[in-house]
Amino acid sequence: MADTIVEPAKKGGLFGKEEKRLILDPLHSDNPITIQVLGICSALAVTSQVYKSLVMAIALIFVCAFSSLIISLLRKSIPGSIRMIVQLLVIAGLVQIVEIVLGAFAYSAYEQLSVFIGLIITNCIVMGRLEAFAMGDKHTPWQAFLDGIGNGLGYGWVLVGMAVVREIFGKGTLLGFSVMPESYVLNNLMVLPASSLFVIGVFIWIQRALDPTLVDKS
Amino acid sequence: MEQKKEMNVYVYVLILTSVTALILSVLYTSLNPMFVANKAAAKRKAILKCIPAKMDLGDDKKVNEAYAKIEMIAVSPAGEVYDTTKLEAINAMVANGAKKYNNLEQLDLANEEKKNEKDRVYPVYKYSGEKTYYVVAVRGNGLWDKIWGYIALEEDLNTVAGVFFDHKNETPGLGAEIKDSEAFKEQFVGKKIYDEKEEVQLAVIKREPPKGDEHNVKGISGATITCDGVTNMFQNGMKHYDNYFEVLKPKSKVSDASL
Repeated sequence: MADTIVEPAKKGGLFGKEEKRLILDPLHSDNPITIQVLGICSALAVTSQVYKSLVMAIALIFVCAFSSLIISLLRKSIPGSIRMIVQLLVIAGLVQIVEIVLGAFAYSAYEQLSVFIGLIITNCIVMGRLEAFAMGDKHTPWQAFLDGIGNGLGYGWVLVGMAVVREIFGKGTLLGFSVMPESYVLNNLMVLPASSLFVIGVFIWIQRALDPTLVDKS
Repeated sequence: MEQKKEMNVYVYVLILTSVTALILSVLYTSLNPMFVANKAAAKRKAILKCIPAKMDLGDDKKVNEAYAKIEMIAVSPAGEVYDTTKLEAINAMVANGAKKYNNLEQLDLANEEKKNEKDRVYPVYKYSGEKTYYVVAVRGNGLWDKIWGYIALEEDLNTVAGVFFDHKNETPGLGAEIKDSEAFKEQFVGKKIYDEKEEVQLAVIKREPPKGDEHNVKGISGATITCDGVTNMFQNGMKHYDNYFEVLKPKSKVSDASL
């Protein structure tokens, strides 16, 4: 797996230990939603259907990865006083790209997500990663890119996981296909945004129960 | 050393915004035609969906095929008829920032709402298949934002053949069910919009309507305001067509209802 041919001198190459950690940590022990509790707003809003949350997850992975890459490339030139404005500009530009591309190639997803795509701009995860990681001088642009993908995936799997639970119990379907027996009475609470609070809570509970090292000792 | 030549902030921002703007505008201009086509196809599909005739709406091509059976006109509340040749006349009435149309199919109630009330025109889509249906558009207020819909009428211009609702921002699971719930929409089929006095009677009510009821459908529990919005949408929306229907009705009895 590890591609050590390109730049073998640099901390284990393209997929060294550090790079693997950047992808894997956000999936579990440093998950943006369940551990850092960031990006909750969209997690509440777009998880009523799996299809919606899949598109949202892909959009966020794209924005997060490429904004990290671009900011990391620019970081030495960005004037300190307008650092955040530049970050915001890059994020907003990428979000616009997502919106235009969705409108042209995935119109139904565009219609369903409409306002939430635009709201990726305000997703704390994206800007948080830029400030905390991509701006850091110690990290290479490639590492920043991987960090973006890792955090996007960490956000994405929780989002899709929640959507699976909510769609099955709320609508009796999975990606639009009926999966529950006829006799199942739809739980309308699961369709309402409020239910995602419970679902997130249960996710966090399960995750910490499986891995007690994540429990805050204090 | 750390202070080494930082680029002038203004120059930096100017360069960065120009590059971003350039990329976005190139992307937008190249992809916007597809977006516009998607939007038009979605609208065609919405109109076709409320017509009960059997048709396959699998892809855009089939949608366009089915849509070829539809003839569209616009009518004013006074009963004047505008067909595609009279687009100029419709565009001449724009005001308050309403957009002009490049073709009649772009006619949009959201845009019409910006015009002065007397200048607004409303679309009628006549579907000529095995049976003839008239589809009209209505628009009103839900709980959070606008709701709108298409209503297919039988040839008697009173019996509902099918409905399509959509909304901007109704609550999922509650108000949004006007769009998502097939059971809700199916209730409308066969209901009569007008009573003998030509008043709009169709309404969404709170309980199961009594057997044989011609005008009421059962609302969605927890979505009273959205359901009332649907009722109001019928009340207010159908009256724009009154004068046009008046002209059409006697004609429709004489075999051919030419538009």
